[in-house]
Amino acid sequence: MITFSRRRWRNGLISAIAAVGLFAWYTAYDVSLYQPAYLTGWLLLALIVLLTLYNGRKKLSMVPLGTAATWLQWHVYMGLLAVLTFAMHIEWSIPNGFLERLLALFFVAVAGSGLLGLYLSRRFARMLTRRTEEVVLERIPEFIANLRGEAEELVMTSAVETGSSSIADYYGNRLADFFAGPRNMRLHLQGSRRATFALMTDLNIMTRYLNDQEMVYADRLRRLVERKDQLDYAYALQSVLKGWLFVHLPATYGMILMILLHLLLVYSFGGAR
Amino acid sequence: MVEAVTIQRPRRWDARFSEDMDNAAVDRVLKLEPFRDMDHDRFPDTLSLAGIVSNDTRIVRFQDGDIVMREGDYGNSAFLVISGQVRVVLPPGLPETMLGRAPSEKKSLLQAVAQLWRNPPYPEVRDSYTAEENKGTASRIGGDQEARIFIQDVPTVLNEHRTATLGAGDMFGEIAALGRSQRTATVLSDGPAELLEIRWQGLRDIRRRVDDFRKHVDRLYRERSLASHLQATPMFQHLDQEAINRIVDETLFETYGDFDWHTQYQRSRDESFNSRLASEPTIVAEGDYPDGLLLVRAGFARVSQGVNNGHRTVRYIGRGAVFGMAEIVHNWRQDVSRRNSDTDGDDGDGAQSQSAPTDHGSTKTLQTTLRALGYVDILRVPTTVIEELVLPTLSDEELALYGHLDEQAETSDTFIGANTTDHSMIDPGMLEFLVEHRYINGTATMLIDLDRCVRCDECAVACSRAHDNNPRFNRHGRRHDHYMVANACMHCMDPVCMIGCPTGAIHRASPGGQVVINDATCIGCATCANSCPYDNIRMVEVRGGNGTFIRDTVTNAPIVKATKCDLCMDQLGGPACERACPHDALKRVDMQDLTDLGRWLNR
Repeated sequence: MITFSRRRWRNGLISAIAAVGLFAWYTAYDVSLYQPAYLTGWLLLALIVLLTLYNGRKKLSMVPLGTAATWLQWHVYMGLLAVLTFAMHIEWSIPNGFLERLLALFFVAVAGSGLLGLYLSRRFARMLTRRTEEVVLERIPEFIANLRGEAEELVMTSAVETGSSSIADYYGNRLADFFAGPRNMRLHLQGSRRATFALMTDLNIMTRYLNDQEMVYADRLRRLVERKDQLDYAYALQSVLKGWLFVHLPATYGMILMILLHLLLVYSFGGAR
Repeated sequence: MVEAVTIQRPRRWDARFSEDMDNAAVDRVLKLEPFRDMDHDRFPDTLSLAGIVSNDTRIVRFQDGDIVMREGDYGNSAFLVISGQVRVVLPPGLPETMLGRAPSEKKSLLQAVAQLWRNPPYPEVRDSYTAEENKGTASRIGGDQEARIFIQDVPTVLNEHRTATLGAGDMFGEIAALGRSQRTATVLSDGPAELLEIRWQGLRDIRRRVDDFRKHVDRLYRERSLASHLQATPMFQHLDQEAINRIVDETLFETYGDFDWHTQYQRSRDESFNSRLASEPTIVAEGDYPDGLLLVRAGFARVSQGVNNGHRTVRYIGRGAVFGMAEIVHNWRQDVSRRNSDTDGDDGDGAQSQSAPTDHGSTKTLQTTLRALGYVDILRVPTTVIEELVLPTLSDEELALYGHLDEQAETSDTFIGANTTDHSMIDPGMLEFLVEHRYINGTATMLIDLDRCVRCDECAVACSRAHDNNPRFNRHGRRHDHYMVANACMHCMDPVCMIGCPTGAIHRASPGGQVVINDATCIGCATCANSCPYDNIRMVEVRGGNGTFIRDTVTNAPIVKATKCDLCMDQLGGPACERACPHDALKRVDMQDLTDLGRWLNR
């Protein structure tokens, strides 16, 4: 079994050799007075078609077409080659026509979201493992609702049993919105715990006005806040881990449509080849 | 309104082993040895001896050359020779091609792709359930599907292979039936033969109530497995038959722990590590004199080493492993070198009688403790026998390999063919975790590397697609560091879920050995689900094609079935979960293959 490090080296090396070969081919084409844009264009199209097949492979999990992990490796490294091919195709400059610019924008969106997705997949997976229990994204709202129910019951009981409104007031002012649904997504994605820290600080300040009986309720409320914070964290990271595909895939479809239009225009109005 | 599907709730013996066992046949069997001497009063009315014979046995007739059972198959039954004789092919056995092995039935490419649109929209639909039940196990017996493989050129086979003959009154196949393990030998019919086949549920019930039968079966169980076990052990493979026979005569049989270990394990799961360790029977202790070479014949054992006031798990060993060889070799080499030195001192040019290198040091006691994890069968070959028959025949390289002794527990007790350093690739904490939770039992344990898992659930989606839109595992389970053992059937070496299944619905598939459930004969008693120590079997209420629950005609209660991972045995390409993971985060791991596990953990 090959190690990840060795695999990165191997695939990187193969891609580098392919890139050098591609560049040599491009140069040879260019000095032979052919139009290399046709070469890079068709190569790019071929690469994009191969790249899009990966999504089809994911749907056909029941057919022995190799593992999805192998396909993803191809997808990543061919994607990098596609970026190089694209750069050569546009001759390392921003296209000047509106449609070409739009197509380039789609390509950048696809490639950029892909690279970002790859980075997030590696980083967020580790972050999730370090900080949270395993919880399925789709069930997090349900767990949050349960926590909210527990918190509200706790606050009501506290008010009835202790005859004091300190905890209830604190809940109404600071926690009601916090428990209403997933919160602080941006801060969690940045790795910041500032929002939770602020809540805890306020909770600590509030404890100055509590007696021993209320302190028991405050401690239980603190634990609920911590659990809710964990769920928010998992929700934020998992949402992004799934969500980036909602940029990558639609941008891919848009790009393919633009490519078809681009081909039509090139072959309808292109000059001598 | 959609009409509910109703059927009669299945019960024990609904699916008889054979419909041909009429009263005359049962009476005939009850007059045979050993049934005729059995005390019928020892059986309750609900589980009479006649009932067992009627429902759990069948009479099978074989022609000359028919293969009765094949080496390597997972058998759930034993055979008693009624008339005629059979030949047991002794190791090395017949080649695979001669055994007529056919691949298990897999979906065609078209059928596989069709799952995309043909899967039912409701969970747990059993569209063909009724038809399957009507056909039934019993109706297949003796029908067209009872195809037998026969050997065409029997005399040649008998000339080229060593065989043993069994005649009327002899029993065989009980090793696999009771040990829930693979058949250890191929058996051929030698001329026409009539056999009584007893499925393991019946064998178990008779064995439980009849002492003589139990002793008889146990004696066969112990005696017959020994020679083949010894011959499969690398250090004995080169020995001649005479030496093997000597070892067989001298070997002691020992059993540690409880056959139904899972019940005890489930109870003690929440106890502290030390109290659980204390409850594991000690087979040999660190510091003991190595009075014998221990061979693990079945089950698992923990190898640990004392560290201050506690014990550190060094590794686990299972079927096929040997323990204590390093110390025995070490001590023997010292004796030899000491004798050589004495000889050299006497005559100055004494010949080197043994090839063992000189090695002057103290006698080594055992460096580690061996404890039974659940049920363990041990064969103990006395040290004197090893020193006399085995060690002098080993080469220097073999002696160096087996005798490698490191006081930090680098002993050579390993699985057959395993590299001695495999376990060192596994983090000690991980090792403790795997042993503690008995995950070492798995041959296809689902390990997930959470550092790479992006929680996309592609694994669960692929599993669901491969099983009529029903995921057969839960991406949830115990964690150690960044690894999770998900709740998916591990297809255990010792599948305790098979213990107590009243109909034999849960069984080993052939030829892969996967633990699978025959949906048609599952009566929904949940015995397997309750027995599984890992909570990997789920009971589900099944539906008809129209989405309504299938109900019992009498009680109107929903029909319940046991479900679990079947390792996608009918799918092309193997487990869908593993193939669907884009990030190399999921692997089905054979816990006996420490090399593979170690490499995967250290990618």
